[in-house]
Amino acid sequence: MRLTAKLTAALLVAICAVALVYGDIEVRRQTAAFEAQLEESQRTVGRLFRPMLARTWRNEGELSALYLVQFTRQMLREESVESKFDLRWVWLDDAASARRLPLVALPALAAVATNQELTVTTRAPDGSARLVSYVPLPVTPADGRRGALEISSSLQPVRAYTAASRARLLATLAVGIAVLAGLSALIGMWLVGRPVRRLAEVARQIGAGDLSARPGVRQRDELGYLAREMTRMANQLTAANTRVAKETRAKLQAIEHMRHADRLATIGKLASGVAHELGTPLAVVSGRAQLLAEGKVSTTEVIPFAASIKKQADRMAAIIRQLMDFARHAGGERSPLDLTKLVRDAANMLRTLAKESRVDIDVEAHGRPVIAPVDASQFQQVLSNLVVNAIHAMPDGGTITMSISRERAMPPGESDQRWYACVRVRDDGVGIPAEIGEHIFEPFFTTKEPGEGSGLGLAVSHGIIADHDGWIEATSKPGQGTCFSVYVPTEIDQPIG
Amino acid sequence: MSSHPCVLLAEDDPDLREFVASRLTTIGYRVVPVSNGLEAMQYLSDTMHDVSPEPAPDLLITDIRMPQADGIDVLAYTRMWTVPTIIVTAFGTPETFEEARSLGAVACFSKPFDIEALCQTVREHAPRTPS
Repeated sequence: MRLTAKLTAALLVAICAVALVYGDIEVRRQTAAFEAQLEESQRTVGRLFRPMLARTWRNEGELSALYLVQFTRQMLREESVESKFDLRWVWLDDAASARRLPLVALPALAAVATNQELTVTTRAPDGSARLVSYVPLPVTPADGRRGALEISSSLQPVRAYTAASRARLLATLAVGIAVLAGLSALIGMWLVGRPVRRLAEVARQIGAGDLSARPGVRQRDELGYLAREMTRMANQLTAANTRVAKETRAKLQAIEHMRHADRLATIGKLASGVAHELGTPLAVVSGRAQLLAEGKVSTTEVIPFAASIKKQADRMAAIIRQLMDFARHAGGERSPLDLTKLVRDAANMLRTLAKESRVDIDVEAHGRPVIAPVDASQFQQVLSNLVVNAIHAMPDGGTITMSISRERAMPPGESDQRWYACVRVRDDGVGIPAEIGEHIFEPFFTTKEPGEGSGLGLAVSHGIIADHDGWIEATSKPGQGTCFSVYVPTEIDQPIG
Repeated sequence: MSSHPCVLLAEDDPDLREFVASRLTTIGYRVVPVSNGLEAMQYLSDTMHDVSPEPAPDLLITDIRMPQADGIDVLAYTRMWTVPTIIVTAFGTPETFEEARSLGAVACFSKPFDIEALCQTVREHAPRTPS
């Protein structure tokens, strides 16, 4: 509406200016014409009367002449004309009596004294404006005094007419402006206000997320154009939205696939470790059983042999159960668990695998439980990834140290310290060079040969720990080893460990 | 040749170590059990140089992947002393056994193994003289 108002106001101001200027010019022109007409009439009266007056003066003398003037004056007064003429005889000198004194000051009447007609505007004693014409008489009285006929009429009617005209003009202008403003307001509301409100409404709806809103504005003008563009924009937004939703779905699926692939790889490695680990107890079982079956065991030794077989069988069952526990849980259920136990279990599962690469695994723990809400198999997956990486970092063997502790720490990017359970996997291997340090958590990033590793381990671990509201840090010095620290938020109400 | 040849047994699993040691003892061998390659090399060195009064080993049975000194390192060591060495390991691959044999191992066993076959191999390379 403001737009229409601005346009209308500008237009109306221009119209006003033009109208006023034109009106004023016209009124002035009319007034001037009117005054010219009046002047002409006055002079005509004077000229018509002059011969008769001159004859009377010559034939009957000054008194009769003056009486004639008076008589004529009286007659003129009685005529009902619009601008009443007042006819007078005046002397053009100071000696004139008040009755015979011109209305206009003497210095201005110098021309009349030289026999010229003159018309001027002056103020009457009562303050009103009068048009006064002087028609000199070619009569020279004996005393040489000069005189003239003074025909005057009030300009009040003219002035009144002018004022009325101006008032009429202003009134017309006012009405016209009011009508135009009203019309403009209505039209503005119809052509601009409503459509704009509708467009704004649709924009608001789209901004609030309702991409189905469409402006129903179909004018064939700039607003219609805007509406069409908005429709196009909304369509594009909808398409983009759909694309983003699809891509997000695809991305989530990809992350799931990655996690799954890494899980299978971990299970595979653990299974390989388990296979090797079973070899030793199986050797005892098979050896003892073989001797028993071949009768090479004395009676007293039978029971100890059987007991040993049972013990090894239990050992194998435990080893297999650990792997099955890890493989069975698809993941997703979190519960408060003792991380110390999880770390020890992981170390046990991975010890044989590590041994194959001549690596030892040590576990450092205070002995007090460190409880945190975690998904057991997902956490084991993370630990496995870190241990496998550590093993690869020590191609000539070495020791991996796993430790658990509870400490206050500040998550990256935040400014608050909170309690976290921290599991550290330290190796004294080749270390991570600074230039690849920032890439290690990227999916498919690996420094291993093709076929040796997928490059998913750290990326998946990072994602799992992020899901647990924690994070993984790596500190490393090339040649001195690497330490991965896994932070997971821990319950507040447990004894300080 | 002696009536009770000495077998140096390097195996880090206590149960298996105890089983093999007892069986070898039953068939007449003197077993010196150690739990890792380092200890094995130490014993070898001490006895070969007569630093220790213990009997020098006539045969060595060792795993390959052990903490502190790999079996392969031990092999290189024992070769110096020409002590016949049998490899017993859970991590046996054709490549590993090939490497072990090229370093002088007389036999390679993969866990789980046939205990009697192992004993037979021991008899072949450290024969007992009848007492």
